Amino acid sequence: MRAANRWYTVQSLLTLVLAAGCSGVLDVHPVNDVDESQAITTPFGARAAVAGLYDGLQDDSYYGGELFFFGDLSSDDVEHTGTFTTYRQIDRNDLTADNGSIEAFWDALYTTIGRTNIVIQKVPGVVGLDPAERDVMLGEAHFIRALTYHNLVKFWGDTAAGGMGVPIVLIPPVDIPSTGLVTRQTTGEVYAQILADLTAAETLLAGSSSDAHHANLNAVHALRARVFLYQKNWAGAETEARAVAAAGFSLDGLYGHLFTADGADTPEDIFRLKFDAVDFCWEGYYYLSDLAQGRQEISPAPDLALAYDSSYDGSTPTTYNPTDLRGQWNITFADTTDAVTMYGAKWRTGIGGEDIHVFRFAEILLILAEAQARQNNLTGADSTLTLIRTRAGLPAAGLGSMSQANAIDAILHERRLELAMEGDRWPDLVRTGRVQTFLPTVAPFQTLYPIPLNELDVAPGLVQNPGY
Amino acid sequence: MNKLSRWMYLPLILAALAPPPSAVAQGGGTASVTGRVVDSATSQPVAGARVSLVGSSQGTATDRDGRYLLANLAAGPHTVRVQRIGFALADANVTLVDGGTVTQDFVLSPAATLLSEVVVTGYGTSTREEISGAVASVRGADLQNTPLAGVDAAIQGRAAGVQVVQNAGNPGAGITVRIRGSGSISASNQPLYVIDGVPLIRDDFSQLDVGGQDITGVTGLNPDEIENIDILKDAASAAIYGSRASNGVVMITTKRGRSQPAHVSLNMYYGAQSVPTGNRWDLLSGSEYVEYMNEAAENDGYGPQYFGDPTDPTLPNTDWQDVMFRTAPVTNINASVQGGSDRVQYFVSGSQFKQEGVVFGSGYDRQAARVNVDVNASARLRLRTSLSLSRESHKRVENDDTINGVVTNAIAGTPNVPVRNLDGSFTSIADGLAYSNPLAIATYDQAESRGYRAFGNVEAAYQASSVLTLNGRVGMDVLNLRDLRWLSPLVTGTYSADVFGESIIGNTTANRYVIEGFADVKPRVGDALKLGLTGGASVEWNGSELDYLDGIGFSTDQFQYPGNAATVTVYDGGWTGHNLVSFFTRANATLKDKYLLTASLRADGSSRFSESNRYGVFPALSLGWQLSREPFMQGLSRHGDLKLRASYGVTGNHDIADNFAPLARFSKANYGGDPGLGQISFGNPDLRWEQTHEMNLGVDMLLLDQRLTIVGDWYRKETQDLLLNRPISATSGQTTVLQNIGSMENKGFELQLGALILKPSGNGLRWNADFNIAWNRNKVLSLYQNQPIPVGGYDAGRIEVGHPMGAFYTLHFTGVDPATGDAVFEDVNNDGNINDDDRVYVGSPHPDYWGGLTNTLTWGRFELRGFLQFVQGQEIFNAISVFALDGGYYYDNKFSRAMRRWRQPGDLTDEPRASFDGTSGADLISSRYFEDGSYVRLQDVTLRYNLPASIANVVKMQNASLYFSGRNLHTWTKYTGYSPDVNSAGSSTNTELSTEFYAYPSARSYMIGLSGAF
Repeated sequence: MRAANRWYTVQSLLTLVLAAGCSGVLDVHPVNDVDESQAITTPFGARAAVAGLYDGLQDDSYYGGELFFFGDLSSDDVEHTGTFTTYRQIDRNDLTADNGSIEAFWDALYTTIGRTNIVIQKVPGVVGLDPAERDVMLGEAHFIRALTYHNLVKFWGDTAAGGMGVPIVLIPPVDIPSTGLVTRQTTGEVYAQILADLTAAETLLAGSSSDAHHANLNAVHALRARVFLYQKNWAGAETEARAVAAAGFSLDGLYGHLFTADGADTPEDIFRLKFDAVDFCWEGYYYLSDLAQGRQEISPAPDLALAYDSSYDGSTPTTYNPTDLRGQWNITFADTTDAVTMYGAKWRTGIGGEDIHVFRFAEILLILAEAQARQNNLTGADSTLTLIRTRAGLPAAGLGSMSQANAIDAILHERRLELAMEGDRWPDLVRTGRVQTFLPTVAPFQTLYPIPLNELDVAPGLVQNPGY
Repeated sequence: MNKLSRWMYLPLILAALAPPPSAVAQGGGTASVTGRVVDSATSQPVAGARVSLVGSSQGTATDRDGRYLLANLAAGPHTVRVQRIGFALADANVTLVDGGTVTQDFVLSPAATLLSEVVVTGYGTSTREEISGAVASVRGADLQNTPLAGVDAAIQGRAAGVQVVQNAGNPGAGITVRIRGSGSISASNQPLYVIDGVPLIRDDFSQLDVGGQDITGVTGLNPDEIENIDILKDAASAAIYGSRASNGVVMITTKRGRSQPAHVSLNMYYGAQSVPTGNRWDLLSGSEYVEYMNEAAENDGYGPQYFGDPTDPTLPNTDWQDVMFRTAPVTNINASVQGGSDRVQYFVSGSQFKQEGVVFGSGYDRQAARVNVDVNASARLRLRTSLSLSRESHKRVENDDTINGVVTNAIAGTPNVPVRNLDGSFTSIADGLAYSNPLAIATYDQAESRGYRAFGNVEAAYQASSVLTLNGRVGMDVLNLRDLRWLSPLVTGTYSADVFGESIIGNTTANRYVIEGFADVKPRVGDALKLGLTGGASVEWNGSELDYLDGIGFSTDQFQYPGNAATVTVYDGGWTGHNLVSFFTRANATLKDKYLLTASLRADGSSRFSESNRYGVFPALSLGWQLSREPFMQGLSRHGDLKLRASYGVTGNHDIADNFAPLARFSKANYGGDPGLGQISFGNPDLRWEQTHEMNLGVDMLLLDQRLTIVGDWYRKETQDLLLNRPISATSGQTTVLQNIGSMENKGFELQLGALILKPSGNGLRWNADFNIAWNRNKVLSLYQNQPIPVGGYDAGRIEVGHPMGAFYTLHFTGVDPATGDAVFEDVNNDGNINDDDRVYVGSPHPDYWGGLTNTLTWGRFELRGFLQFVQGQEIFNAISVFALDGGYYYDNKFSRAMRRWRQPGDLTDEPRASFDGTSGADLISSRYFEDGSYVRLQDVTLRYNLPASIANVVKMQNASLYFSGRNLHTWTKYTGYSPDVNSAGSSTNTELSTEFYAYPSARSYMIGLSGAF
């Protein structure tokens, strides 16, 4: 019976364990994630949430890749040479609303906005946070929200202020059902929100450093200049561009210096996202040829090569000899006997370490030049543009002796060459109403991206862009 | 047996309607027969055997000690007949005298039928006779000597209603098992595996992404150690496992010791595997490829001979499949010792299984050991330990669902490029290949997942009294998986070449600990009513801890661990876990050996749900009626047995990947060295279990003196409150939320037949056949706002109300325009445009029916077994077509059928014009890319010869047999790929089914083996 006694002991122990189990065993807490109630409650947590905003900008579908890819793939500058059927659709401008890459792009932008909304809501309540630091954090959030709304309205919003823009969401959702109630605001309302955020950011960032890896006061002016350009507020754009210039930026002597493997500092940096092998940037990897150790999912179109060198015949690589230093830097052939092997060489590494300029001074000069020209200050525009052209190894364009229309065309052409493969070409064509000029087969409705089908399904109040 | 009696049992319903004959004994004499009935194999008494006088209605049943008494018999000669399911019928002639008692004992020989076994039911066992749910059984012997790593692969075609998809031929790859269809969209659809009472960790913990095929925890078990598998199919049988039972439960019982002198068994085989030429993809030769691509380019204005001269005699013609495939050996050695005394019984086994892959660079091997010991510690206390240790190594090659794989590039590789340059180096993209050289990948890259595992339990059963037994069990499953991958810089045209090599190391330790206690009560209520009660509780802890490093930049190809990396690009480390607390009870009642009732109830508490929704309750009830034991069914009962079964039960599924889904959470979102946080989930505190309600109606029949067994089941199950990641507007900051939305139905019919077609008389020919077939219809009943969900590669599948889950939904190809050569598609909405709005359902990945047929012929010392397995009515999405039937838009090699393309106006063909720019419509995803995946496969033929004792004795063996076996010998199918038993998305997917995307070929093997005992 001794065995039996022992067995009873085991049984009672077992019962005890079971009883204990019921209270504690089922309380399992995550260790890789943190519960919302503990996430943004300390200065540490607040700083982490702000770093998370930049992480949002780094997303593969945002500045980490597709914002730039799609901004060129839709245009005449870049074509699809890989295997992704969703990319091919974008290249052909025959988008359907269920294009998964477009959806991922939309999602990435709103994910970033969602993070800014959380920061703006939670950070003011964080105990122990120095008010000056808190203001800078909130300023960064307002700036990144403004930047992202502008990127949204560039691709999905009607160019007319009264047309359909994108949904404006400024606070985290109170519950799940409310997420289905969003509607689209007008483009004008979206721009008003962007400017309101910029006003807030300007005040809040007053005490920030001008660290180019984070949002700063210069970037606020730069974004406002860009926004005014899109709104055709030429005087405003000029004022803001000059405010940036007053901060003492200059062009780097070497164009290629801006696109080095691991992101060098240049006097041109206004706001530059830091990437490394961990926070992988996809630009180089997707443009470089197989032989240059990329996957060449997309490539410059012969049109772009022709824009750099009008003598290029499109079929013989040896006929491509641009005097434009940017043309020499941006386009290369893997095989000098085969035109099909042309690839984009702006970023020259496939390992993801290249930094991305959200704002660089050259764009501000281009905004300034265009604003001057639009206000018929052609000599002013010419001297602004000459700065850009000189760095590219080109003579002055002589805008002063052109008609205003020709001068504007020349500036827009310069914009194409300077900002090639940086996601600017398509929004620029849409903004200036010249899509059909360069891409005659694109139907007018196709100048706007479709709202992702899944969004329409879950938020019935959203209206699709016409034609899709 | 005369004609009349045959008619008596076939129209059963008529018989049931007939008035019951008088139960009063006809004899009215004073003679008696008594005796004892024992099992010839175990010498144990046989209880519940029916004893009758032939030609009279008099009968009785044996008691627990196997004794019977037939009294009040008339004097004279009689035949006493004893019948028991699972034993051969026995007759004895007796001559009775009035007032006298004759003693007649019986020794019954076991007769293997589908309905004879002991069935493991979870927290107990039962006899097949007493089961009123739907349980399928597979004998361990049927699983042996199949050159497959996992027991899950080996049960393919063996049990009705159990659908097994091998997915691909990679040695040791994860297997898809569906018991009665797919019930869930976002939670797992794989069954629960329970080994000797302890649930097995079956998940994939590998952190390597080598394409679609995964590895699972199921392969760690050596099939040679298995005695028996019982598959609990209906909800009533499975509900004792509550929250994890919705996908059915596979109960595995391992071999145990016996009270006998040590019995040493040895089993070994050697086999050769290869990919038969006829099973390979039919692709273009070098010159055909150049001709086709030239035409594609020329059609789109690129000028003639854009790809060179197809008639050039120096043009290489590389058969990349031939280059990449090899004849590979498979070996298995298994030794075991089984024995014991009355006090201690043991089973000890060790094995080595080694399978090289038919594709260069791949393979699998396993060393496994098991020690099972049973100890009668005292008259009342019995201890059992079961312990298994194993080591596995998966040598993996990147494949499936990727365009960088080894097999992928063997299919896609351009045939007009040689394997090597003149200097012996591998050719590469620079030499004209569309992708990396597959032989270079297989030669230089490494990917190995090594598993180390300990699985076991200790059980104690204490017989507290004659009616009460207390049971305790402690079990564990500890699994360590180490992944190591080397992507060599020597493979040109890859990321690793760019970064001077990439090395990945992953390490996961997963563990499960179970403690449970339960009591069995078997009150003695009298011979008419047998009662059994079981009740207990169980606690289970689950955890998995991982780390991961991915480094790039190595100074030589010799450094293959991340320790030598210049830069670490990806790193991870973390833990996750979930626990279960359960209470369960079950009652069995058998009245007069005729009326069966089983009721069970389990309450599970899961840490995966919030406190308010933590517990789920899963009830079940099943009823059985031994119809043939009713007096009015006597006509049948003499020759067979008939049982009707009905059951209803509720089971659950909580198998979601996210252990913390109720919580709103933030996770790592770093920026350039600054620690960052980003929201990853809104959380949903309202989450609860998926629930499956299932009804089952079944019949068990034994006919023709037990020579024919029929088991039929009809079921309907409805899964409600599906755990579904439903999309929400991204404007909220998140894109999905996990909610309980939607429902799904599976209903079907299963039939299992077992027949002894030729009965042995002496050493004559014996022929046994087992056949099973199952029909299942899967249908989605409701979804979130009933919105369809696109799924699968190229979004070719869809989940929509009223359709099977993952049914294929694409454009409908109607032919080729003879004027233009363009593909023509059905314009469903007649709007003049062909776009996504014109998609229609083009097929279902789910089979209409499937099953298997085993024939065993025994003649003297020879035994011949043949196993056919079949699947009918499934459609396969051949996604290779996207690159191989695209008209020449991609550089990949093409399927041979591309050669019958349209070439000039007036051509009548079903293959569109070649087009380098992709303008012929050949590159659109449509019904053109789908194939009928029905097949019948001669899966196994084994010829065994039992050596005469004189020969066996020479090598000191008691008995020995030699066997020759062929596996995967022939497949009758219209499918053009390696195997229609395919899914390139692997075993972890629920929704992307029956999709071919460069799957690893399935091998044909021939084996020679020897088994014997010392």
